Amino acid sequence: MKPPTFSYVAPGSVEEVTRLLASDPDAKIISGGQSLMPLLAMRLAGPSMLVDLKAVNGLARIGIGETEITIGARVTHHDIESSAELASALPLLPFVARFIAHPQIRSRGTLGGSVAHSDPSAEWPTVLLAMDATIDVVGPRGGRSIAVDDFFTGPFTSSMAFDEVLVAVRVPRADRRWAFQEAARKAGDYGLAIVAVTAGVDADGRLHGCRVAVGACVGTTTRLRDVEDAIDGAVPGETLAARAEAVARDSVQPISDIHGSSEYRRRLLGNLVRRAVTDLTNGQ
Amino acid sequence: MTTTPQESLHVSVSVNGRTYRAQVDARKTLADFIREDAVLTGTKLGCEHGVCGACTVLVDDAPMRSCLMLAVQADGRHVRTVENLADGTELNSLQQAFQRNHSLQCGFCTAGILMSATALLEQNPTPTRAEIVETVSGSLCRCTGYETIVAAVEEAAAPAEERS
Amino acid sequence: MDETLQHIKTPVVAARAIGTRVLRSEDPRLLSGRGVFLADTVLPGELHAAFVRSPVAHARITRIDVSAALALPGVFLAWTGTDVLPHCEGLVGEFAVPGCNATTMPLLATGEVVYVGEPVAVVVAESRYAAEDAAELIEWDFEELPVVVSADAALAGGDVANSQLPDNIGITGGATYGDVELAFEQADQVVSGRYYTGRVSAAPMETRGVIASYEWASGQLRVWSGSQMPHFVRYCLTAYLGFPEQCVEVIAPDTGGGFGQKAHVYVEEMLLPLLSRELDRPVKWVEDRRENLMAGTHAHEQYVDIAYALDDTGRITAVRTDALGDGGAYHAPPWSMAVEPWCAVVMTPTGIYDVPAAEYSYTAVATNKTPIGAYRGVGYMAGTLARECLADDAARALGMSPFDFRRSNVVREFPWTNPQNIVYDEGSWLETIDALEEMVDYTAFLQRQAELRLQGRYLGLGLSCFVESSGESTATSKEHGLGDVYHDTATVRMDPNGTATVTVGLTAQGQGLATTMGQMAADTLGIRVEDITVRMATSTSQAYGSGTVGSRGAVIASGAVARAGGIIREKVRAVAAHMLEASENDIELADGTASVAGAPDAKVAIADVAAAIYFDMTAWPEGFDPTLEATLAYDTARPMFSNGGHAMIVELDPDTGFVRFEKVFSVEDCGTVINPNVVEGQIRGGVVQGIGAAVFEELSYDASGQLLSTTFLDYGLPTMDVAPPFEIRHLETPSAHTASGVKGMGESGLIAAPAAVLNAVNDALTPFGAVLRELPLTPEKVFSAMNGSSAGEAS
Repeated sequence: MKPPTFSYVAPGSVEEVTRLLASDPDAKIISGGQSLMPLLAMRLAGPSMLVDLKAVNGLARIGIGETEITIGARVTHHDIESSAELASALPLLPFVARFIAHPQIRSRGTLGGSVAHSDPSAEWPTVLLAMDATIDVVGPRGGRSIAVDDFFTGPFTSSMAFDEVLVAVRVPRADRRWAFQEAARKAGDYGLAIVAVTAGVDADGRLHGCRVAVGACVGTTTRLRDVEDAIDGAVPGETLAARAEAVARDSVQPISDIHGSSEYRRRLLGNLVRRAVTDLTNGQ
Repeated sequence: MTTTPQESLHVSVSVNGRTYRAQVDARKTLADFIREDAVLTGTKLGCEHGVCGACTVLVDDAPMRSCLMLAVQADGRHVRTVENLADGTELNSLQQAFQRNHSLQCGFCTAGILMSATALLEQNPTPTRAEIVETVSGSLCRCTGYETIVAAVEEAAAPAEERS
Repeated sequence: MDETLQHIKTPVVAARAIGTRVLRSEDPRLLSGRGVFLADTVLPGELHAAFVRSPVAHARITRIDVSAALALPGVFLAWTGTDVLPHCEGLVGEFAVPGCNATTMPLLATGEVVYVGEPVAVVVAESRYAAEDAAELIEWDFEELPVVVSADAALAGGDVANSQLPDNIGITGGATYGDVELAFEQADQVVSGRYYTGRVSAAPMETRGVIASYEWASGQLRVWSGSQMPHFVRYCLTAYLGFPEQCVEVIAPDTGGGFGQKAHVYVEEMLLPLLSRELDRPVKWVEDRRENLMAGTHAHEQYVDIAYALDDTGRITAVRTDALGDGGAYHAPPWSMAVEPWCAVVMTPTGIYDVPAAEYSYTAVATNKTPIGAYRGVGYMAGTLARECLADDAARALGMSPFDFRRSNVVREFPWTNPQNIVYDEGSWLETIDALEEMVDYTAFLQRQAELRLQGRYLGLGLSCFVESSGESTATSKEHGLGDVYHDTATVRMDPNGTATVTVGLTAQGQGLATTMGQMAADTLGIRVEDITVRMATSTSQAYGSGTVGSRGAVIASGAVARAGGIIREKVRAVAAHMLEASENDIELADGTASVAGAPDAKVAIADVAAAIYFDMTAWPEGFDPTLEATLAYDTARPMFSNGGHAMIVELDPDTGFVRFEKVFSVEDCGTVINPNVVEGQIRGGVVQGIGAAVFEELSYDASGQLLSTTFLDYGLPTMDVAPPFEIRHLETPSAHTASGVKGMGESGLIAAPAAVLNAVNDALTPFGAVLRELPLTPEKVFSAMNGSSAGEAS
């Protein structure tokens, strides 16, 4: 299990990165490499060139703004997990980081890599979808921002072009409740199902602007809009959680593989949605 | 900074305080560089896809899978391996705790676990049991059943006077 | 065994170092990264091999073209089956009982491939990277053939998995002892069940690997392999390839676990020497993890149908067992497909229970899957799973506690002869049940279980008791109707300063044998453990060994060490007696001193005695032979059986179907314990492997015979966060036939843990009226059991 031959380059600017990507459709970006390296070792990926982001400045910062938080593409899962600023400003992010793989992976794997890889089993895509994040990318034609709702287009595919590079993820700093549920059999396992929920709460205790995202048990990270509709405007509680569970079960067609059938995952997802909506009553 | 794509590159990596310079294929993993170019074979390869943890080393003091990193990505960085733990005359306190607690059998996974635990204890000298379990859970061991590994890390973390 | 045999007799050794928690002498090297494992061994000029392996389960090869691979820079050789065939037709796998149909496993497939992962071609290049590049360039075409992917389909016949076995039968047979039919006719109740083990991999952390170095000028062949049986590999290199045995050395370096997977002879071990001879260069192959999961032997997969005839007092009056093994595409030499179903039903049909009649049958069938091989307690896991889980089923049916049901059936008097006429000399079978009940505090557990159920929490307690034939020996083999001959040697040499070097013929893969044999030698010679260096069989040029298999290491090696050490001891005593002017019979050796019994001041340092033997003839008694080195063989006079049990508490999550392991209670009786640390380590590791097999691990195939679990992401070994805490209790019922009363125990954890897991899960499932009988207990199976039969149905 040794990687195939490729060339390697570590340019010093985003512009240079995009120029190299544009010059070779078989080139691929590497940063932490925690998803790409296994694919190379198993020769399931065979890029002609790896463009390393390690020398590009400005991609490893966490910026806490008034209305949003900006996280650079090269910020590691460990950086997020251990950030005191994030712990107070947006505790969902450090909370979720701890579910990712192992400490030995989190120290090197990056937020940008995980989002760009668009693995439906990964935690970040599901959570960012629930958080209404924006993904900033730069290509040869300049930069653009992609709403997370438009980002994940399929398993391991996104709306980024081959010559674009993900530079940052921006998350709104709204006063919202959140919940995260993942069913993984043991530490570091891919989840059998992942659910992330965020919602605002009115003065009278009613949920609004609910976003319910699901990963792992589906081919593409996706929102459960039926569940959002079902809980929007309602007061959280056991009854609502049970309703959300029932709606969730009916609103997905989960994948089937050696780790669990579609029907099992459907029921499991329902239970996680119930747990997540129950958690919302506890609030932030 | 490498500005022209190349299949073979010159790297300079500090391993256990000694600098190793070599011309390597871009595709060579850090694990293979450590084992072949630095000739430090204490770092083991158990799966080569990042799951088993046997190849875990410290890169600039952080625990990382050396099979999931290219040698060229380690250019200019400081790597520490299991060979660096003992001083050449006796085992360090963590290693001694492993021996006392029978925390290893075949010893193949041990280097990775020791390096992960070293990073944990350097960052947090008084970890909780849950934190130790999380760290040890990043490695696979087929021999010990794990309980004694956690016991050894707990013992190494505790001040000597608290040990029974 | 014939009592005139000398190599079954060991001297009496008083325990001093034996029984203590001596820290392992292996550890400083392994903890400091100074172990030298196979991949760490680098020979000057070595080349690297990579294999092309079949991506399909069953096909006829129609064309192979290696030219593109050979054209790649840095490539030295590319061979296919036709290149290898003139050297060797393949490895024969068979089992020496009637009803076995042999297979021949080619070193590289010719004509037909019969499982995913079967080697089709090999490439040798200047690096592993280059070898993998070249392997990708080998072009080959094949016509797919019908696949047989289940034992039931194989048994039904029709499609043939391997043309060498036209009816898909690898081995079949059976026997009846006592009037089983009458017992079942007259039974007040019959309980029965069909249990399935799942298919797993031993998955040692170090994969397999081979280095071969042939030097034509001397005719010497050196082969490195992390084998549990290096002497057998050496024998095969001569038998199959014709290398003169005296010119072959097999070296077993530090080895990262074996667990039976490395107790085979593999095609790669035969192929690499041919490649080295062809290229006149050392050739190395280090298996990668994907290869290990595809082409290292698989384990377990069998269905065991079992039935107990019960009388109205809850006593088992007869047992019927039928095992159907999914053997994979070939017999894996040397054990064959018999390793699972035959062992499951023949080795211990009655367990610890006083059952007067037993009937068994076994069949192993060929399928288009990886061959089944040995894994820590061959067959015993499946047999114990069926027997112990049916015991819990029976207890439930009778409204008895699992402890009481076992107590009402357990053998209480020894020696006990089972229906097969196998004699059990001693054991603590009843005491094991009592100890486990006390350790779990059964009454308190029942109360806690009932309280938590009211809160919607589901705890279960599972019990599993075992008896394990240990110290695999000629006598064990004979008792079970086979004719295998085992014996191993040890060499003990005392140096002029009274220290000693011990070499044993067994290899170690983590069992700490260098430490425990040091303890045995220390007590035999009367010197300190620190004054002894133990060398395991790193090379076949040293002591002889029949292999580290069948829980035999500690038993057999300690016997050989005690016998060889006993010779040295007697020489030291003779000279000490002469020096102290005392009777040889009064000389005692301990703590590095030879002293006269009853005269504490009359003593001499053993170092001085040793020095005198080397340098001072005046100290010698008349006619003294100063050879202070002895090599002797050992085998056991009789089969011996360890016993014990596990109790486990689990909790099920009704939302996910996950099984959480709260605690494991283990009782082990392996006779005299040489080193409690080592024994407890074997228990913990074996039990967690059992938890893996019972819950987490599964080698999954799809309907086309494609293996779907080829990474550690898809084949999930237990990690720390899911491993339980342990409470371990030692019982000690020594064997009368071994050095100091030692019995073997390396396999018992895996043998008995899966049954305890299944029983615990079924106990937790009681409120749901569901019983599971198939491993692994995936979240989906448990979830379905808690939520009605189909996960799709609303609760």
